[in-house]
Amino acid sequence: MDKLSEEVVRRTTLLFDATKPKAGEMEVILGAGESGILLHEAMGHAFEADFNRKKTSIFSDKMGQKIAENFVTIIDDGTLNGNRGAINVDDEGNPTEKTVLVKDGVLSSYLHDRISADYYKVKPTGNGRRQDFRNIPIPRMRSTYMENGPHKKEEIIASVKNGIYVDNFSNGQVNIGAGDFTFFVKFGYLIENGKLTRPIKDINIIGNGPQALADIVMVADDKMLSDAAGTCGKDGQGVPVTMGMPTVKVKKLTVGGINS
Amino acid sequence: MNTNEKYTLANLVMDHALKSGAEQVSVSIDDSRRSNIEIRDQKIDKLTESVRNSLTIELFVEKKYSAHSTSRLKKEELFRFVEEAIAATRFLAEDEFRSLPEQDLYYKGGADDLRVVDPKIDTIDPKMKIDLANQVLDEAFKKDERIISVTSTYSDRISNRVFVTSNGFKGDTSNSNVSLSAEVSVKGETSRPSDYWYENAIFFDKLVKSSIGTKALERAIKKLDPKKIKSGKYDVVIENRTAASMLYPLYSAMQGSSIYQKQSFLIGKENQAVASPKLTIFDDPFIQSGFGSAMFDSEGLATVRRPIIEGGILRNFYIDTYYGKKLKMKPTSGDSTNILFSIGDRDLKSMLESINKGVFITGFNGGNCNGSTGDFSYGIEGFFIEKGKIVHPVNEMNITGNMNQFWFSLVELGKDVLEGDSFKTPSMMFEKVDLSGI
Repeated sequence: MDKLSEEVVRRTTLLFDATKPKAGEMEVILGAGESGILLHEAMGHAFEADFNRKKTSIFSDKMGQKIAENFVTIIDDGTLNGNRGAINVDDEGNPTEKTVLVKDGVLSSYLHDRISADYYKVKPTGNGRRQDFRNIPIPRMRSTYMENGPHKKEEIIASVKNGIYVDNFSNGQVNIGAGDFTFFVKFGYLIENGKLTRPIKDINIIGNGPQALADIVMVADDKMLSDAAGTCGKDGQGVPVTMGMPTVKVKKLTVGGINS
Repeated sequence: MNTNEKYTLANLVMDHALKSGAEQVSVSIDDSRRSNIEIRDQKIDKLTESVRNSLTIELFVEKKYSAHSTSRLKKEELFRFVEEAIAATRFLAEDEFRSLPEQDLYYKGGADDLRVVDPKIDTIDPKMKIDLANQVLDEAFKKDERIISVTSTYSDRISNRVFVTSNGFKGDTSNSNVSLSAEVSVKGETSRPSDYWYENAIFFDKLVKSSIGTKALERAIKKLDPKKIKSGKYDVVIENRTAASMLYPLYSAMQGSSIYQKQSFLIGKENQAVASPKLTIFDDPFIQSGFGSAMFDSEGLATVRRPIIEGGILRNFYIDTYYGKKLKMKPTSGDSTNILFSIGDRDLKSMLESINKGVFITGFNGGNCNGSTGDFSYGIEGFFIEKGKIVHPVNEMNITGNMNQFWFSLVELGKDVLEGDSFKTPSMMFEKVDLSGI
C-alpha cells in the first residue's frame, strides 16, 4: 500500500513538468509490465478466433506465418496462480491452459471458444468467457504477456536518438478489421540521444497491429506482469484480464502531440 | 406484473424498509424485454431474446447510505433482502450529505405524454425481424468482389420503470427502441477496412428500413487503402455521427461529481466563455418522441429545458442532489436529456468544399481526455481534403489538444443534425487543430 501511494505521489509530482511531445512517427520504448497493453490491443484481440472465423481479423489469413522477429514469443495464460486473468475452467467448461499465440515469431494459435474450435477443428483453448449469466461466452483473453528476449533495458534506451519511453496507460482500443490500435499514455518520458529526459503525459499512441508486431526490433530480459486491475470490454461484456511484457522497442508508432 | 402491481410491490417494500429502521427510502422496479438477431453471410449467427426484472432500493439509515438490487421479486424474499440491506448499511460510514431530493423539486405528474414508447414492438413476429435483417444484409452481400464479410443486426427493446420515494415521489416511465444496422468488411491492396451504418427509432413504423447495407458498403469501400499524412495543424470537419465523442469530455466536466472531486477543467467557469460564440447547446427534455425525453430524472427531479452553453458561455452544470449539497449548489439534475445545438445553414458537402487543406474525421479510435486539465488525444480516421475535394482516406492518426482551447477553434456547425440519438449533433468544423501522422 505504501509503495503504491508513494509511486502515485511521485508520478503526479513529476507531471507538473510534463509536456506534450512533438507530433508524429517515432521510436517508442514500452517499459516492462503495463506495456503489455500493446499485446492486448494490437495483437490479442485480433487473435480472438471469432474475428478470424468471420475473416474480419487482420490476422485471419496469417496462421503459421512469420509475423515477428525470432525473439518474439507471446502467450495467453489462464494458469497463473492468484493472477487476475487466471481461471480454472472457462465459461463453457473447457479447462484453462497456457496458449502460445506467437512462437519464435510465428503465429501458432488463435484464442478459441467452443464454436471457433469446432470451426477450425482444433482443441479448445479455454478462452470462452462471459461477464455473467446474462451474456453468452465468446473468445476472450486471460493473462497476455511476452516472454523475455535477448536485449538489456539500458541497451534499448541507449539505442534511441529521438523517441519516447512509456510505461503508464489508462486505456486502449483496437479496430479489428483494419488492425489499427491505440493506447492512451498517462505518463512517460522523452528520449533524447539515448537518455530519458523530460516527462510527457496525456497522449494517444496509434499504430497498426501486424506492422507494430513486425516492428518490435528489441526485447529485453526483464519480463514483468502488471498488477494493474485490468478489465477488458468486448460486445458490452467486461472480464478481468492482466498483461505483461519485458521492455520492448517498437521501430515506429504515431504519437499524438503538438506541431510547432 | 402490470404497472399497478409494480406500484403495490414497490410501496410494500418501501414500507417494510421504513418499519425496519430506514429513515428515507426509494424503490424502483425495472423490467425490459429485448430481442437481437445477427445475420452473417446469409446465416443467423446469433439470436437472443431476454426478459430482465430488477428491484433497486436506496436506503438512508442513521445518516448512512447504500443501494441494493435484486432480480428476485417474491414478496417474502424481498422482506428478508431489505432487512439484510439495512443491517449492512449500518456498517457504513456516516455521510451527512446523503438524502432524498427536496420534495418541491420533484415532478408532480400531469404533463403531456412525450410519446417515447411503441407498444407494437412487443407484437412483432420474429419472422419479420429476421426478414428485415436479411433485407439489410442482401443490400451488401456479394455486391462487390472486395467484400470479406457482411453482418446485419436487428434489435429491439422495451423497458419500464416504476419509481417511488418515501418523501412523496411516484412516477413511471416506458421507453422503446428498435434498430437495424449493417457492418461490412472489405479487402484492398494494403488494408482491410470496415464500416457500419445504422438506423434507430422509438416507433417500429418510423424505423428507416432500407439503404442500410448499401451505405455500410459504400463507406467501407471509400476507406480502402488509406495513407497517413504529415503531422501539422489542419482544419477539420467532424462528421455528425461521431461529433459527440468530442463533447463527452465537456459533459463529464459539467458533472457535480467531477467538480466536487476537482476533476473538471470547467471548475469556476460558470458564465464565462468556454467555447467559440458559435456554440450554443440546450438540454431539452420535452421533445416529442426524443431519444432522451423525460419528465423526471433518475432521482425523480422534474426536468426543465435549460441552456448549457449559450454563445460559447457556460450556463449550467449537471448537479444531482448529493453533489448539490456537497457543493452548496441547487440541484439541476445530474442527467442529460436531449442535447440540441444551434445549427448552421450549410450541409456537409458544402462545408467540405470550403476546406482548402484539411481532414474530414469520420471516426475515432481510442484515446482519452484528462478531466482535470482538459488535455486530450484521440485516434482518428477519415479523409484528406485538398481544395474542397476528398483526396484519399487517412488512418492511424491522432488529434491532440486541450478542451479549454479546442472549443474556441469551432468555426461552423452544419445543418445536418444527427437523428436517432439523444445527442442531436450536426457536423462541426474546427480550424488549426493539431494532428499527428507521419
